[in-house]
Amino acid sequence: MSRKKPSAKDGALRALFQLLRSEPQDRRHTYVTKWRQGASFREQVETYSEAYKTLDLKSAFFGKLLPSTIEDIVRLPAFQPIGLSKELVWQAAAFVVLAKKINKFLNLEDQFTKALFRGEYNNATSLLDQIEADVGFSSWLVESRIATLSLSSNVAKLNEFLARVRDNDNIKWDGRLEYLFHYIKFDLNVSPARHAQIVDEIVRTMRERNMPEEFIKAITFRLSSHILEIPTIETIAYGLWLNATMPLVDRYLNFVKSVINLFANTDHEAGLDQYLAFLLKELCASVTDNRLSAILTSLGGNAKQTGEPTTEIVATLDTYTGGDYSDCLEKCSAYSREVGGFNELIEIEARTLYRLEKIPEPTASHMHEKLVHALANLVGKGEKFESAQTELTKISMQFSAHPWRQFLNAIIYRETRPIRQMASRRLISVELPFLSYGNPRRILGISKKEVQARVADDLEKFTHCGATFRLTRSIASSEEEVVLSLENDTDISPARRWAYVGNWLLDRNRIDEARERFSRLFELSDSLARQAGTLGLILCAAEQQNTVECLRLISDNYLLGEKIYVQSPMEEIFLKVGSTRDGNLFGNLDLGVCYAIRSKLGVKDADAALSDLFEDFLDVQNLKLPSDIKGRADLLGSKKVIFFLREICVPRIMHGTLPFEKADDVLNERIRICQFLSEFDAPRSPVYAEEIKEITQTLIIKQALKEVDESKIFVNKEGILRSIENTLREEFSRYYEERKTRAAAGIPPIAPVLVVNSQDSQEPMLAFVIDKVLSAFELLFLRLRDKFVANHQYGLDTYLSARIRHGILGGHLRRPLQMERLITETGPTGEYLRNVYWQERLFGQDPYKREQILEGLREFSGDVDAIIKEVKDEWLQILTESSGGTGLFNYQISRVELYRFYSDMQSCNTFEEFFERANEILWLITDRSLTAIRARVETELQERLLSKLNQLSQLVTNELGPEGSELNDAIARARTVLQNEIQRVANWFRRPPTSESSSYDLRLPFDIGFAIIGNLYPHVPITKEEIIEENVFLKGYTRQSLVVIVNILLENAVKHSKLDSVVVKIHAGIVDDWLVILCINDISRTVFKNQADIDAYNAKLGPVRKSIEDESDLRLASKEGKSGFQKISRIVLSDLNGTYELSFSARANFTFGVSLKISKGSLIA
Amino acid sequence: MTALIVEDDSNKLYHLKEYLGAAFPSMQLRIAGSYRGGLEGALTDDANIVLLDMSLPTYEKSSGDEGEFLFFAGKEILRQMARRKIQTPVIVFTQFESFGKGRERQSLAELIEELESRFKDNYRGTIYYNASIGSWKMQLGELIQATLGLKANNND
Repeated sequence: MSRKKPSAKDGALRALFQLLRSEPQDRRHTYVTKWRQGASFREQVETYSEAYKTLDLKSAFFGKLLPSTIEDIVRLPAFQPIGLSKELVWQAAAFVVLAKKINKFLNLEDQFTKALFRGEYNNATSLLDQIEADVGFSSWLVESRIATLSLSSNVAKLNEFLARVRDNDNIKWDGRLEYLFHYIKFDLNVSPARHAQIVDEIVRTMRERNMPEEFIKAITFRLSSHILEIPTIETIAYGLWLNATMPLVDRYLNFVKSVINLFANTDHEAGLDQYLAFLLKELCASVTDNRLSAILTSLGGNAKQTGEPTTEIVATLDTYTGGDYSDCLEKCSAYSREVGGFNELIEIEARTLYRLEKIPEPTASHMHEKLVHALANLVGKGEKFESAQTELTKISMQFSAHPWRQFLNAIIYRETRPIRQMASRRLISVELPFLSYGNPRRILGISKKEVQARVADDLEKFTHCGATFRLTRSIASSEEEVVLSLENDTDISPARRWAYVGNWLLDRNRIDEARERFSRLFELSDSLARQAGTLGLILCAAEQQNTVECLRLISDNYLLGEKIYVQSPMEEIFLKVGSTRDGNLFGNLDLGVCYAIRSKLGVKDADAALSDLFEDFLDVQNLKLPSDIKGRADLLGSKKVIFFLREICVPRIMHGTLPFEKADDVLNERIRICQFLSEFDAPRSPVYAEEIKEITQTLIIKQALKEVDESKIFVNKEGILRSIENTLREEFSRYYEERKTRAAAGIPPIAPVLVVNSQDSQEPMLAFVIDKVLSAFELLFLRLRDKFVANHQYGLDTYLSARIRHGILGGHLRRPLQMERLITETGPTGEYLRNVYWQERLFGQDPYKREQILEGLREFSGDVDAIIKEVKDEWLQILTESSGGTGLFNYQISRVELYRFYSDMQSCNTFEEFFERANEILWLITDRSLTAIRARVETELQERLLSKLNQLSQLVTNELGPEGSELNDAIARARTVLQNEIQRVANWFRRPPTSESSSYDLRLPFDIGFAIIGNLYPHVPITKEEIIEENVFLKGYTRQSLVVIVNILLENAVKHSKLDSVVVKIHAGIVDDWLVILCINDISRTVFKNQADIDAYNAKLGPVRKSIEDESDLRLASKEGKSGFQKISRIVLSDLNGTYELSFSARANFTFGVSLKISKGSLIA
Repeated sequence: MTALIVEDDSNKLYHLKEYLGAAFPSMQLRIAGSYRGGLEGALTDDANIVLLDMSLPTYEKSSGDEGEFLFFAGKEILRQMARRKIQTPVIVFTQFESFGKGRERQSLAELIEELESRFKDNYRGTIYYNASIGSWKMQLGELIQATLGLKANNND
C-alpha cells in the first residue's frame, strides 16, 4: 500500500494547525481571521475539510455548527469582519465541506414549507423534529416551531415551547429576546408598525444603558425583520459577518439571502457578478439549491435544476396569459393542493381570483389561503388594500428566517411603491431565484444579452414556445417589429398585450404611442387592466410634465375606491405642484384629493396644504363658507365637490382658516356641511348623522364646562328659605308690626345723628338712636346673611368648599406645572418627592448642579403649594364680625350700611318682598368681594406664582447655562399656560348666571366629569367604560350637582388607585325609584398586595361610613380635607333634595367600587 | 407707524408694550393673541411691522376655546404671508430655546436658519425674550430701527 507523499500545502496546513494548537482556545479565532484574509477559496476548502475531521480545531474554524441545544447557539461572532468578498469566500468554502448536511436540510426544509402551506401541521412538526435531529437547533428552527404551533393553534405546546426559551437562564438575554420576538410576531395585535416601534423602544433602552454600539447594531439587525427594502451592500456584508458563527442552518440561509440581494443590488462594484458566478459554480457543484442555480444560470454559468418538473406551472401561466381565468384558477388550485409551497402561482391565483371577483374568505390558520386572499386584495388596490398590505408584511416578518419571504417582499414592494422608484433596483432579480425552471419571466431578470438569449433558447424548447414565453421574449427584445407583433398574437389576452407593449414604448419615451395602448387598456372591463391603463396614463402624463392630468387621473381612480397612487410618482408630481405657478392648480379639487391622500399617509405639512386649498377653493368659487355650496347648482352633483365637503371641510383642516373666528364657528359649520351632505350624499347619511350627533355633544359639553366654571359661586336660595322660613317669617312679622305701629303713630323713621370727630379718627362719626324697629331689622337681616354665607347645606361657604377649595383650585393652578413636570407631590413623610422626570432628563449634567436644580424643584413645589394653601385657607374664606381671619368674602356690615339697607327696604311690605330684596343686597355685597378677589388673583396671586417660576428659571440658567434650555423652555411654557389658568380662576369669581338650565341627558354629567378630570390630571390618563341608560333626561337644576358628584367619584379613582392610567367603569340608569350610579376602578397592587390589605382598607373606611349615616355630620361638608363621600351625601340631601343609599368598598378582585342610589323623585324631567 | 403684536403670554405682552411705549412713543400698537387673530391681522392690517410670537393657540382666549396649541404658529403665519405676497417685515419674538415635539422638534438656531432661508421677503430677525434679563430690549430696539428706520428712545 502506497502512502501519499506530503506536499508543500500539507506542510503549511500542518504548520497552521500546530500554531493554532499552541494557542489557548479563545485566541484561535484571531489567527483564523488573519489566515482567512490571505487564503484562496481552494485553500480554504482544503483546510476546512481537514479541520472538520479534527476534534480540537473544528470549532476554531466553524464555531458551533450543529448546536444540540438552544443554549449552545453562539450569537455574536468571535471573528473580525474581513469585508464582503472574503466573507463570501470563506462561508462558501465552508458550505462546500458541509454540503452533505446542507443538502439534507434543504430537502427537509422544502418538504416542511410545502406541508406548512398545505396546512399539514402534524407532518410539518415531524419534519421539524427530523431537522432538529439532523442539524440541531437554529434560529430558523425556533421561528418555524413557533409558526407551526401558532398556525395550528396548539396553544399548550406553544406555551411549553416558549417557557423553554423564556425561563432558560442558560440562554443569553439577547437570544431570549430574539426568540420572544419570533413569538411576538405571531401575536394578532402586533402590526408591523407596532413591531418596529417595539424595536425602537428596545434600542432606546439599550442606548440609555450605555450598551456597546456594536451590540446594539447586532440586536437591531436581528430584530428588524419588518423591512422590505433590498439592503445596501454594507448591510449585506454586515449580515454575513454577524451570522458567521450562527448554526449551520442560519448561516447557510443567510448566505442564500445575501447572494440574492447582491444579485438584485446594482450598486455593487464591477466584477462582483463574476466573482459570485465563480463562487456559485463551486458551491452548486456540491450543494443542490435551485435558488443559487438560477442565479448562477442568470450570471452566465451552467447549473442543473432539480426538483419537480414545472410543466404544470408553464401551462398555468399560459392560460393566464391567454386570459382564460377559469381554467387558470383550476390549475392554480390543483397545484397548491398537490404541491404547495411559496411559488409564482400564488400571485397568479390571487390575480385571477380578483379578476373573477371570487376572493374567498380564508381560513385563519391556512397559510396558502391567507396569502392568496391578502395578495388578491393587494393587487386589487381596493378598500382592503391597506389591511392586505399589513397582513402580508406581517407574514413576511413572521417568516424572517425563510428565504421565500424575499419573494413575497418583492411582490409587496412592487405593488406598493412607485413603479419608477423600483428602476434603481433589479427587483425582478429578487423574484428570479424563486421562479420555476420553465417560467419565461426568468428572461427578464438577466441583464447580459448573450445569457438572456441562451436561457431563452432553453426555455423555448421547454415551453414549446407558449404564449407566456412569446410575450416575455418579445418584451426582452429591443426590436420594435418583434414587440409590435405581439399586438396581433391572439393567444395573448388584450390586457397583457397592451400593458406589455405600452410599457415597452414608455420605456423608450414614445409617449404618444404608449398613451394610445394604455387608453385601450383603460377601456377594458377587466378591473386590473383598467388599473394598469390608469397607471400607464399617469406615467405618460408625468413624462409630459402634465401635472394637472396626473392629478386628475389619480383623483378619479381614488374616487372609484382604488389606490393606484401607491404606484404613481407622487413625490415628483408634488415637486412640480410646488414649483409651478399653474393657475389651474389654484383651488383644484383633484389636487385636494391628492393632498387628502397624503394627509392620510401622514405626510408632513399635508394638512397645511389642505387648509390652503380649502381657502383657495372658496376664493375661486366666491364662497364665504363651504356650506354656501348648497346655493350653487353648478357645483352640486360633482363627486369631487362631495369629497371636498366630506374629507377636506373637516374641523381639523378648517381650524385656524380665515373664514372662522372661533372654534365653535368651525364646529357649527361642520354640522351645516353634514346636514347638507346627508341629502346630497344619501348613501352615507348614517355616517353624517353620527358625526352631527358627536359634534353636537361636543358643543353641549363645551357649553356645560363653561357653565360649570361660571357656577362656582353659588347659594341655594330656595334651600335657605326652606331651612329658616318659619323663624324668619316670625321675625319679619315682628319687625313689620313695629314699623307699622310707628308709622301709624306718625313717628318719623329714625335717622342717624352726626357727631363731632372723635380724637382717634379723621372721619366724622355717626351715632344711632337705639330703636326697636332698627333692632328688629338688624336681627332679621343678619340672620339671613349668616344663613346666606354659612348654612351648612345651602350657604355660600359650602359651595365654595365643594366647587373651589376642595382640590379644584389646587388642581387648576397646579395643572400647567404638572404638564411640564415641574411640581411633585408630598410623600408619606410629608417631604416633597424627588422630581424623577427632570432627574432623568438632566442625566449627564454635572451631578452637583443637577442636585441643585432638583432641590430647587422640590422647593418650588413646596412654595407653590404654600401659596395655594394660603389662597384657600386665608383668601377664600368668609369674613363676618364674629369669624375673624383674613377672608376676602367680606360680609362684615357696618351700622352705616345696615341703616342704608334698612332705609332701602322700607318699601318691602311682605315677607316675600323682603326676602327677595335682602337676597339681592347680599349678592351686591358678594359682588363687591368677588371684584376684590378677582383683582387679587389677577395681580398678587399671578405675580407670586410667576415670581416663583422666574426664580426657578434663574436657578436653571445660573447652574446649567444653555444646557438648561429644555427645562427653561418647560418653565416658559408653564408660565404662559399658568397665566391663562389664573385668568380662568379669576373668572370663577363672578355671580352665576340666573337662567335656569334646561333638562339634559344622563350621559352629560359623566362626559363633563371625565373632561374635567382629564384636564386636571394630565399625567394619569383616565379611560371610561360606561354603560349609561339611554333616554333618561334630568331636570336642569340638578346638572351642576351631578357634575360635582361625578367629579368626586372620578377624582377618588385617579388619586387613590395609584395607577399610571385608570380605567373607570360606570353604570348608570333608573332602577325602580332610584337613579343608580355604579363606579368601579382598579387599584394598584402597590396599594393592596393581598386580601389582608383589602380588609384593612375597608376597616379604615368604617368611620367615613358612620359619618355619612349620621346626618348631623353634614356640617363637615363645608370643610376641606373631609371625605368626598360626605360631600356627596350633602349634595344629595341639600341640592337634590332627595334621599340616598351610598356604599363603597375595596373588593376582592383589587378594584374599588362605589354604588350610589338617589331617589329619582324630583330629578327626572 | 403701526406695529401688530401677535402674542398670547400676557406677562410678556405687558413688558413688550411697556418697552415699545417708552422706546417708540409714536408707534401705534395692535394686538392679536392667537394664530387666527395674528393671521388675519398680518393679512389685512396695514401694520408697518409684525412682532410675532412663535408658539400660539389657534384662537383668541376671549373666544372661550383657544383650540389647539400650535408650536410653529409664527412660522405658519409667515408662510401664509409669503403665499399671499404680503411683504410686511416680521420680527420673531420668543421666549423658547426649542420648539415642537418629537421629530418636529427644532432648536432656536435651526428655526432661525429655516426662517432666514424660507421667508427672505418678510423675516428680519429673532429676539429671544427672557423675563429676568433685559438685554432683549436693546436688541429689539436696534432691529426695529434697522427695519423701519425709526430711532429708539433709550431714556428709560
